Amino acid sequence: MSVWTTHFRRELRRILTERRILLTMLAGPFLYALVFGGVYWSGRIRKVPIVIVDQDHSVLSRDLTRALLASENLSLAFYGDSPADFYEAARRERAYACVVIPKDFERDTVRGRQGRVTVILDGSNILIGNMTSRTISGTIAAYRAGARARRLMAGGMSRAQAMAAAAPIRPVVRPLFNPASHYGFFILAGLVLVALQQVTRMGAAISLSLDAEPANRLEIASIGGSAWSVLTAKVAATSVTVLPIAYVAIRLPFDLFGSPFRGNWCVAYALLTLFMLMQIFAGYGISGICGSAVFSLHVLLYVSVPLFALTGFTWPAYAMPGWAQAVRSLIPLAHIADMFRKMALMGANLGVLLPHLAVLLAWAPVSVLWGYWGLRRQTALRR
Amino acid sequence: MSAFGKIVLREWRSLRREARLTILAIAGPLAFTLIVGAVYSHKKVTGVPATIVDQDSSALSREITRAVLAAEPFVLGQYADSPEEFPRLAAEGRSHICFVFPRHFERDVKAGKGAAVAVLVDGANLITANVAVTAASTVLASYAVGVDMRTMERRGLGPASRVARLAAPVAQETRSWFNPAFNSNYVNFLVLGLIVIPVQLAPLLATCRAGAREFGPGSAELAGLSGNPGVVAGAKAAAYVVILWPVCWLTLHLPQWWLGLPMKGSEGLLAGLTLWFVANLATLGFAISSLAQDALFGSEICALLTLPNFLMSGFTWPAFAMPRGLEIAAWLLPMNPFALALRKVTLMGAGAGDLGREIALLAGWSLLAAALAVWGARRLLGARQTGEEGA
Repeated sequence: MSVWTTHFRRELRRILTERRILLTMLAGPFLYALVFGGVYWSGRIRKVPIVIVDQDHSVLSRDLTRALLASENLSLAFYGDSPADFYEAARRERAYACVVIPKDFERDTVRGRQGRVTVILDGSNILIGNMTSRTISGTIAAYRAGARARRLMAGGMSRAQAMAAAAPIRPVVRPLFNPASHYGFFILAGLVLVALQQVTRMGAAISLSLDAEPANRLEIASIGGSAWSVLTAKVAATSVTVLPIAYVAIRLPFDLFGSPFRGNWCVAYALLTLFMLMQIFAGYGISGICGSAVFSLHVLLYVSVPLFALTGFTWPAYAMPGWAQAVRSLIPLAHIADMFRKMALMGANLGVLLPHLAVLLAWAPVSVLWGYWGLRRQTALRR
Repeated sequence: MSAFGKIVLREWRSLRREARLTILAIAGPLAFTLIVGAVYSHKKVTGVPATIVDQDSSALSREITRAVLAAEPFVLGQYADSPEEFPRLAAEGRSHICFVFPRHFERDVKAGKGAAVAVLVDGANLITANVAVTAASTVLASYAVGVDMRTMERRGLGPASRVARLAAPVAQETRSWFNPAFNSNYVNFLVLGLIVIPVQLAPLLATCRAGAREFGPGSAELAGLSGNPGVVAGAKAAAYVVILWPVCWLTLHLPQWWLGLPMKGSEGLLAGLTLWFVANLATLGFAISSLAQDALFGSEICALLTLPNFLMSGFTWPAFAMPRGLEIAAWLLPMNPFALALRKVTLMGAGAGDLGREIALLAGWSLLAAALAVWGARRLLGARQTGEEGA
């Protein structure tokens, strides 16, 4: 058996028998993908409880209330007497918005004095607030146009003329790529990639840190071979175990949780393979910097979320400070996540992906050298 | 000195031997907050590149284009000849919203026929799409009312105030409580939640490491100091709570001083809740270390617990929108009561009376963590005894 094969088999045996690596590398991706997918299963926020404060008790106010509650996005928490009721309810998370229909609302509207509806939002959660605000505003706008059209029709206009006059400029909003505004489609693939990056780096860093222990150093030295040979054998063994898991885990958002994938899976797998190989090398590099497995793990845990925030996957890059945009453009995770989003939602082809791919390819030799340096540092092997 | 005090001192002395991990536990949460805070420091999404497809090239379409581009979120991406170009521009990241003014737009509006402005939105990033659609709808709605008013004025329907009332028979006034800038301030919403992650990690990892250390070569010294599992668990957790509570308090306050995050509630209440949360996690970390009996394995368990914790906590994606099983699990996570209490205290000015559910959950976690830690300490002391008998 060749030296390379011996190192390969040794690494494979370790990954499959060392519970600390097994738990992270093999169980981690599925656990994370299933939890993330479960959280965003519904994909939309529906039935947000709202408080209705109807101080008018008129036909018109009841009609408006019915129109609001007919939306699948809203549900009635309770009828309140004043906005103060909502204040208490919001602090106890029983309601997230309040619609106040004041006294004389119907009288003012009918007499052309302009009825006024006050909408109070709990702004502490922008996701809920945005959806609630848009639903309520849309309903009231439709109501407003309807009221105006009815008045014009009463003045002798035809229905079509009245509708056109009531809404002379109509915005027709068409969301492309994610028509249902499904939150899971937006975020899930990115989260799975973060999880894959995290567990692969952790597993690789742990494995190399264990090799730094005196007994393991001796064992590696006794097997023989150059540092390149040990490095390639370790990476190959890790890839054999990690890549199939990554291929399955990345499919979960699409096959299990229903996200659309409009790109080419062969391209996607090729990109994922490149990215995962880089993460294995990066894990060795991090181990070289940190030394011990525990320290590597703690460092990775502290940096994972800031790194994800910097990728611009959720918060757009152009809304970041200039230096953060520059850092972002250098992070491989940002580019692989962008590529997967563009492939999945936009059906992007290789031409569109090229700028991102160029960054990944530029990183590839850097990560190999970083991993090589880490391995030599941890195992004290010569070239 | 009592056994409790001696164990605390012994723990502090051991920190010198693990200087790098100690520095990471102190500097990690602060660095985390600085980076995450910097990412969201602009607080709002601006500079959304817009594509204009003006097939009408009329005075009205140019006027609306100017109004759209004057709106805060938008900058001009480019003018395009056809909306067909927009998907490509969006895929290249060069535009995220497209306004299409059809031919005869102005003529139709002036003739009272009504006209549509197509607004194509890149829905791949929902944060950008939300901001862009809200701003676009506001601009176009105000133009619609303005056009309607001008039409009525031409017909001689009365003074401007009456015309305004007729054009918009139902007026809507929106107020946002607890985050007045609302869509314009993501710091209040996201950063506040994200900084709970390192506040959770620091005590959990520190005590996990501290507990696991005793299972290695063993420590006769620890067993000699106290044979009481409660004292051992309490002292080991307390040693880290004393150090990490101020660190966590500082971590929570950095965004206030730097990014202007509000603090509407009581500082004393927040400090008390932080202390309680840190103590809970320090105790839990010690318990996990006893379960794993190995610092690395213990840290991995902590990692698996904490990474999905934020997403499941209901801080961003509401628990009521999750499947029933996960909604229940979300409520039972250790981070959940603290993260939600933090938001209520800082943004809503909530007092202890408003935090009944959160306090009950924190208390539940205290009991569970304490029970597990005492069990862990008993296991640790038992292992020590077994080891000695074997020797």
